Amino acid sequence: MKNKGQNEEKQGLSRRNFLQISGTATAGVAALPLLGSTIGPNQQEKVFEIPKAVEIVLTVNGKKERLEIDPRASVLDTLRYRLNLTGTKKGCDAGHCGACTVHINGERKLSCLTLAMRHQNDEITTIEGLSDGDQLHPLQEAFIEHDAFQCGYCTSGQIMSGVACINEGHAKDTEEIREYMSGNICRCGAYPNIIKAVETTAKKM
Amino acid sequence: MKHFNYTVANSTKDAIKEKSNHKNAYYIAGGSNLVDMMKVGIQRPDYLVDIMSIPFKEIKKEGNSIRLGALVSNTAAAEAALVLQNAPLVTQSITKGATQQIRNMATIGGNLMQEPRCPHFYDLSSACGRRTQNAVCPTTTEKGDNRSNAIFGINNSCNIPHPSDMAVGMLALRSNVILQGKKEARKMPLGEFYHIPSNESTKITYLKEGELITAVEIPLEPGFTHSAYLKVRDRKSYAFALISGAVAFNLKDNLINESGIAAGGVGTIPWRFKNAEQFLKGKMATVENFKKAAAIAIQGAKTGKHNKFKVRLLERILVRTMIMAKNTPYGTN
Repeated sequence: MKNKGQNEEKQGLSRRNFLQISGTATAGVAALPLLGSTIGPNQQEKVFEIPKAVEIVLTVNGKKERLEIDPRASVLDTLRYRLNLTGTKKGCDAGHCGACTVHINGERKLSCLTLAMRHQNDEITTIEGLSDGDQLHPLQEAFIEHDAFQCGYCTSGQIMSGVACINEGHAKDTEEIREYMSGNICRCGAYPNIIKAVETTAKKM
Repeated sequence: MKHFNYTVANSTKDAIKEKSNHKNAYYIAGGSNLVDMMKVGIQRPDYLVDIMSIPFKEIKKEGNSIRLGALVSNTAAAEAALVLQNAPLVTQSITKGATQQIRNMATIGGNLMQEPRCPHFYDLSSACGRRTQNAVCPTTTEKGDNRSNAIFGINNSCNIPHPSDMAVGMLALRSNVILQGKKEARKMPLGEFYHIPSNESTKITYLKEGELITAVEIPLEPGFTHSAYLKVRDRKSYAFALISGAVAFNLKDNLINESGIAAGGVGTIPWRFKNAEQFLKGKMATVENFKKAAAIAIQGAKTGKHNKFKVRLLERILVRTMIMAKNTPYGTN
C-alpha cells in the first residue's frame, strides 16, 4: 500500500486529490454548493457557480485568505474543502465529538457549528498553525511520546483542545483535565495517554 | 441546509427592525444550537440577523444586582470574578453544562433560549409538539420510552426536561430577564419567562415576536451566602442532567434566612420549589430540615412507566445539594 501511494504521488495523483477530483465529478447537486467553487488558492478553474455566493476574507494561521463561499459553509468545510487544511477533522458535524476543534481568537471552538462568513474579523488557528515550522508544539511531541492516539482521527481536535485547556489553566490535575477535555471523544479509547500527554505538557509550559 | 440571507445588526434597534422587516427571520448569537438545528432542518430560517456585534457584553454590578449582558459567553460569565464573588451558583451551574468548546461559543441569552436535544425533536419523521402545533409526543403514549421525561409541568405535546443548567442556577438565585421589544423594554423574573409546553404553541417562553433578551440580572437582595449545584447524569461529564439540584442559602449562625431551591431534569422548564423554600425560612440548616423540605418539593410529581425513579432521585439530590450548599460558603469555590 505504501509503495503504491508513493507511486501515485510521483505521478502527480495523491490519494487525497484523487478523492477530491472524483468527489467533484460524482457528488450530487445538493452537496456541491457546500464544497464551494474552485477559485481557491490551489485551483484556478471555475467549474460551477455558487448560488448566492458571498466573498469573504478569513484569517487562518496568520494568513489572510480571500474566498467566495456559500453563505451556509461552516468554518470546518471551508478549511477542509477550500483551503485544503485537512488537519481539522470532520467527525459528527453536529457538535458532539470535538474532532473539528480549532482556536478562534485563542479560544477553542467547534468549527462545524460556526458559519465561516461570521468569522471574518477573527484569527483562526488550526492544527497546521500550531507548530513552528518543523518544530512541533510541545503537546504534539507529548502525544507522540505518550502514544496518545491509535487511529488518529480525533487527534488534531484533542491537541487543539489540549493546548487551549493548558492555556486556560484548566490542567492542574488529572481530574480537571478529564473534565475540561470531555468535549473530545476518542473512539479508540486512548484517554489515559491523552491525559498523560496534556498533564506532562502542562507542567513543562 | 436551506438557503438564507444574512445581515449584521449593530444595535438593538437595527436588529429588531431587520427581524420584523423580513419573513421567517431569526436572530443568531453564538449559533451553537441554531446552526446545529439548521443543519438538521428543524429550523429553516430565510433570514439571519447576526446580533453578535451588539454590545450586550457587560458583566457589572448595577445597584444591588449583578448584570450579565445577553451576549456574554458562558465561559466569560462563569469565570468573571464578580460572578464568583457574588453569585457563584451561576459558575457552579454553567461549568456543569456542555463542554469548554461549546461554553466558549454559547451566550447567556442563547443558553436560556436553547431547544431540547430530544431524539424526537431531532427526528423530523417523528411527531413532536415542539416542532408542530398540536402534535402529540410519542413518549407520552402507552408504548413510549419516557425514562428521561420530566415529572413536573408535563403536557402531551412535550415532556422533555429543559436542557439548561445555567437557567436552573439562575432560577434558584431569583434572577430577572431584561427584554427589549420594538417599543419598550421590560423585566420579568426568570421563573415567569418560561411557560410549560402547550398544544397551542411550539414555544415555551413568553418572549414576544421580535423581542431580544438584552441581559440577565441577578438580585443581591436575598443576601445568599452559600450555594451548590449537583448534577447527576448517565456519564460523568458532557451529558444532560438526569437530575440536577441548585441550592442557595442566606445562612447566619446556621439559621436559614432565605433559600433558593431549583432543579433541572425534572421540569419541562427550569423548576423552582417555592414551597420548600418557604418551609426552610427561619429554620436551622439541619439534615432533618433538608429532608422535610425535599419531601415537600417532590409533591405533585407525575411519573410514567420508566421514570418513576426520578422522584426518589430528586428527593435525595435536593437533600444532598442542601448539605453541599451548607458546606460551601461564597468565595470557597
